[in-house]
Amino acid sequence: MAGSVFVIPVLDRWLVYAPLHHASALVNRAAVCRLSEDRVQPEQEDLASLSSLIRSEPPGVPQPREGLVSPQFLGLIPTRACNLRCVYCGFGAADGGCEVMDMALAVAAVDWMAADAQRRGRATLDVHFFGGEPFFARDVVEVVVHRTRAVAAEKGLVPRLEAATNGVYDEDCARFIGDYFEAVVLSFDGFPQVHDRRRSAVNGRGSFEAVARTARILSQSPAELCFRVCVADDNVDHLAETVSWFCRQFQPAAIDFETLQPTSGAEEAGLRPPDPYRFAAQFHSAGRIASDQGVRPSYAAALRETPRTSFCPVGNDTLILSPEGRVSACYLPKQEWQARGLDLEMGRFTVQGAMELDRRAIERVRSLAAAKPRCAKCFCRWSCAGGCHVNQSFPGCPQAYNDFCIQTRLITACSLLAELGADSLADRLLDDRSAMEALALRTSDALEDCEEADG
Amino acid sequence: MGRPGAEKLATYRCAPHVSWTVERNGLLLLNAGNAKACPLGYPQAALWELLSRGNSYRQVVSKMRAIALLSAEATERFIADTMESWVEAGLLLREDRDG
Repeated sequence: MAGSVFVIPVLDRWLVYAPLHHASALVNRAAVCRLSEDRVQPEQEDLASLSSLIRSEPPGVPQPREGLVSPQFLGLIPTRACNLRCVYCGFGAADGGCEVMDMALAVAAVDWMAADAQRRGRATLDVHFFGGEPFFARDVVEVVVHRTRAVAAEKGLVPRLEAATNGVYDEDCARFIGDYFEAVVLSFDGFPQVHDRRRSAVNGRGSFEAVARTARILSQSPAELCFRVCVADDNVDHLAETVSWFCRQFQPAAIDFETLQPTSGAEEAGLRPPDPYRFAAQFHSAGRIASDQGVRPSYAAALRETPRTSFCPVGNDTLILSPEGRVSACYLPKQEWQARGLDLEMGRFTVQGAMELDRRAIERVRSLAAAKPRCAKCFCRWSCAGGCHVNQSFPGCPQAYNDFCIQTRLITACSLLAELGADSLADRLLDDRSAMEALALRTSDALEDCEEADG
Repeated sequence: MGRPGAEKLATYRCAPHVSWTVERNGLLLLNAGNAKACPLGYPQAALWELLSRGNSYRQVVSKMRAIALLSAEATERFIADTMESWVEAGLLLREDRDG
């Protein structure tokens, strides 16, 4: 049971949460005491069955991967270059160089992935594009799209293409994406004054008009369109109106909210991450508006159905190919991980089609998923899983919860309350700063450490 | 689209009564002229797509080589043969002019 059953204070109630048992309940303090001390009376039927469930072995404890590398998807970075100069860019676009992936290298990688998918009996051939801006190297993307579809048809696989993009290109390119991609994550920060302040082109012009045009084209295409909104201190209080407008104008399938990752550029532009308590509250209200409109709100570290040990490609055996043929576990530029003392490189891929992976490097990267001491007693450990390995859970990161932890803990607790039909309790929680702090800053949620409930 | 080096430069355009949709394994061409549907698998689907998006002949050859894993010569032959078959099927129109 240790480390798999958690109790979380929500105002005068307690949320009991056993993610590996897929169980949660809202109880009072006395019930927590009884659960903690294992003295539940048989006549308290509901509590007794909860106690019995959480004291049983969980059906499956997620473990870091072992054995042969089994990538879920192939990640391609056709170029690190970008046509925008976003003030908060953490992808090194300004000094990313202009190297473009050789078409033959890209095709060889797709063929390798297709052979691997077929060997493993997978149903799909999944290729995801990252950047830079992937469509800044449109020729490479076009070739990869058609090679993926050609080889998938040959091997009886379903092609699944996804891309993260800034949306700044001509209508023809947007239509191509809409025709051929299953899912597109489009960076779109909202109203023109917000979007243009942050996301301008190399010539300094805002990119709102082009992104809005792309969004309209994609929203009418078969591709699943997800907007990714960067939330900072200047737009956190406008999420609800931004979401209403997005839903009205574009009807995306999903809207993803992620908080600003501090960079020197963002600081120079006067942008700061939002207050995490405010973000959690605003995410909750904006998310409700989106859901009411049939649009899925999302936050990368949020609650999910299947427990996990990693929130990103790192530790999931994903192979991400850089323009020059290096294979790594992360799409961020190498210098970003190196600055955190991480080496996420796993090998190289050659134009001849040889995937040369370093066994020790793979084990080193896999082991990162298990090395997160800060998360050990946090109730989000199997959903957030520590967040980004480079920006949140890097080796030697502080033990205390940071802003990312605070907002994630609040958002996850509210999602659990919503699942239990306790929306009004979530609303009251998010309206009470001291109750939010009591929940968010609690150093251990483990049931076995629960002493406050006795007090 | 013109072919460099040919005595006659040929320009092709899609027949006005032809439209197409993207399918999982290729394209489905719909010829309203004769009410026929013409499924295109790969690599033909890629060729149709590249031509329809305004790529130059040089770009089409370069991309088709990568997509179909053919030599330069085989790629040019594939393009010429495929386009000829589309002209015969009434899917493409050829307009010859002196080079």
